[in-house]
Amino acid sequence: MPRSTRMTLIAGAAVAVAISLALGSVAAQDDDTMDDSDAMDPMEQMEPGISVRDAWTRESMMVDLAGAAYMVIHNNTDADDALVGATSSAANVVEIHQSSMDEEGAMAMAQVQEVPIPAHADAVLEPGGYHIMLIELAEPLGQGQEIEVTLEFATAEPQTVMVPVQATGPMGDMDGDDMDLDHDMDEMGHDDEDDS
Amino acid sequence: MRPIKQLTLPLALVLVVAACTADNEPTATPAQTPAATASVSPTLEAAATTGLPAAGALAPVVATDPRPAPELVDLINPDGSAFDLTAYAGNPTLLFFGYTHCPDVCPATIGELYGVFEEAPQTQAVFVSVDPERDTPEFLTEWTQYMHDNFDAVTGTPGAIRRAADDYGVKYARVETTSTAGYTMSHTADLYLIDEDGQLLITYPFGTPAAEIAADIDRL
Repeated sequence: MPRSTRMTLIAGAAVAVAISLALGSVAAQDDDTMDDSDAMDPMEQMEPGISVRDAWTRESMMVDLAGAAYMVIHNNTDADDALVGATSSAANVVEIHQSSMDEEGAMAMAQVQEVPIPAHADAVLEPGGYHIMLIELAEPLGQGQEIEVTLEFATAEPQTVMVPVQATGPMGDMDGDDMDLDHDMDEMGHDDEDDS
Repeated sequence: MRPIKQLTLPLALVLVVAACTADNEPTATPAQTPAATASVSPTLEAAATTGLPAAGALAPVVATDPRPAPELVDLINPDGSAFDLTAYAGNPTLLFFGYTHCPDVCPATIGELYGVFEEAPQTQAVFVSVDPERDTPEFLTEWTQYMHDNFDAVTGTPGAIRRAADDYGVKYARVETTSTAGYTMSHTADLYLIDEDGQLLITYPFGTPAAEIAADIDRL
């Protein structure tokens, strides 16, 4: 989409997130008991309700190949909740899937209807496990971009999160600090090895 | 080549795994086709003869008696030429089976491979598709266009791919779904390290970090 439209979307999403956070903090003040046990988890003190952190997705140059978004969702309420769906301007269809290993050691993937987010606990969406599947990408995902994903919950109000697009690389180095990942994925092609 | 350290535990693992898999016939999951089920016996037989650790081990398994990596017979490069694994001799090579429409597992492995490329730039990678229906030579040509220079992809006829997978103890099956994305492939997601002499040395389980693999390659 045009850059101006994307900027508008990002600004709008930022406003929406800010408003929802403000509303969430007002609504949760009566419910959230901040007793001493909560003091052990700094996240609990900062974010009432459902909060999302460490969201990311991989770059993808081919829109026909589905992408996957990962994140950690924290439930700071006393009641269990669940991620039950998602939408995104970056993809025509968004589904929740889970990878797992079967009894023969093969990895398989299945669509699931929800990801449980127990009370005062995290739901982790990570490679090899739960992930949000982005199907029929609106456009290629380039490293450095951000896409907008709106999460839908069983109980909590929907939340829109900005998901940064990471360059292809190892999990141990999502910030690009440890390894010198200086390959330039902006180059759409490369000189193929000489096959003759 | 320096001896690989800590062979005792991997040796015990190989023996335990070999004993367990020799006795137990894995039951087919509902998703498996009859053809996939029938491949279980030759897979175990192949594993026994090649000395390969059984697929799905939870820790890297070092071959105690390294043998030449099974050739991937009758597979083709994206340009249509015959794939030749022996052409990779002289470089450490990481081999794995997957499919391009895999949104989670295969991209994760590819991510780790990129980390290995950074740490051990002489490393080559070969991706063998278990989904020739979608992973045609033409599609792989475009897909690898966006990939690291050291990353190659191969495909072939369903029969050739099944034989290649059997040789590596790799199980895979087509899984029909109601997802908009269509069918998926269940597949063994291990990563195989072949040294410069073409010997199959180590089988890494899915998720092995790049740093660990690169360290093993540096020790070759």
